[in-house]
Amino acid sequence: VTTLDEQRFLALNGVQTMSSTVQCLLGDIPALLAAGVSGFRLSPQVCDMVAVAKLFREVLGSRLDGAEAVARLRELYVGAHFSNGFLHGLPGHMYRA
Amino acid sequence: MAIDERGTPRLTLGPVLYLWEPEAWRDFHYRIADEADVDTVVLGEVVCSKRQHFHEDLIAGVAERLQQAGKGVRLASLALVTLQREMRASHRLAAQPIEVEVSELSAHAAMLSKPHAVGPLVNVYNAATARVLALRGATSICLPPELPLSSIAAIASARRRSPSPPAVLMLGSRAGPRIIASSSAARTPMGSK
Repeated sequence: VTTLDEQRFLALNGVQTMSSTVQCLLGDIPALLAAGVSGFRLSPQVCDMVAVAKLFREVLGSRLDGAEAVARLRELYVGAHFSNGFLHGLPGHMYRA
Repeated sequence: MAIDERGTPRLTLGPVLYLWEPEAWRDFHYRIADEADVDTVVLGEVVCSKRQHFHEDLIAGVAERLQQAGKGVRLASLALVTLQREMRASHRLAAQPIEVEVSELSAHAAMLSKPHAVGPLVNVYNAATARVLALRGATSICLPPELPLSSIAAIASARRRSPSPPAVLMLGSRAGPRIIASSSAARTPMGSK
């Protein structure tokens, strides 16, 4: 679904309305760990989720820098527009690096 | 999700929210079982009860394969229950032995305070809500994706003294808190229909 200005807005999944962007908090893991979060969740997407899980595990284990991991994730999930705006108190569709 | 004895963060793979072909859905989970470094996998149809028949005959086999690979398995409830048959499905889910992840509050009520997980579609926006759910059997809570870090920190701080600090949805399309009537898919990923 696009706006009248042709901006990507929503994705309809049957009766479910979803964002057109994909929430990606891979670069925010240190802040989330510091906030006391101890469990992390991936929602299956049409890309190599085994490789995605490996990236998250490496960042969670402090073996990979978050920015580098996000760059690799963009290569794994071509065409996805990432967002993390809500986490930072911004409009949800935005992404703060 | 709780911190385990080593204090290692836990990684969960949520349920497939899209309508994938049954064989693609099964093979995806077989590969997850064999190759993915995740602790827990959530199975089951969340979005629409009319989709359940596509995969329900495959769930037991996939769950067994995941468990044999050492992964925890949860079965998710529907995100919206409006029909008697959907309510009966929630009660059947509550009665079976595999851990349940509730996606809305009637399924939470059907658990009758038995231990269960709370998924990200349940609106847990503050520590008081998390506390009430925990008192009623929730052993883990995945917070909704629309929360700012300050709210996450406040809930986690209150829950840190409990055995079930919250989880956060890290990668995935943000699902709206409300299901609206609609039909055709605006975005059709490969492998879905």
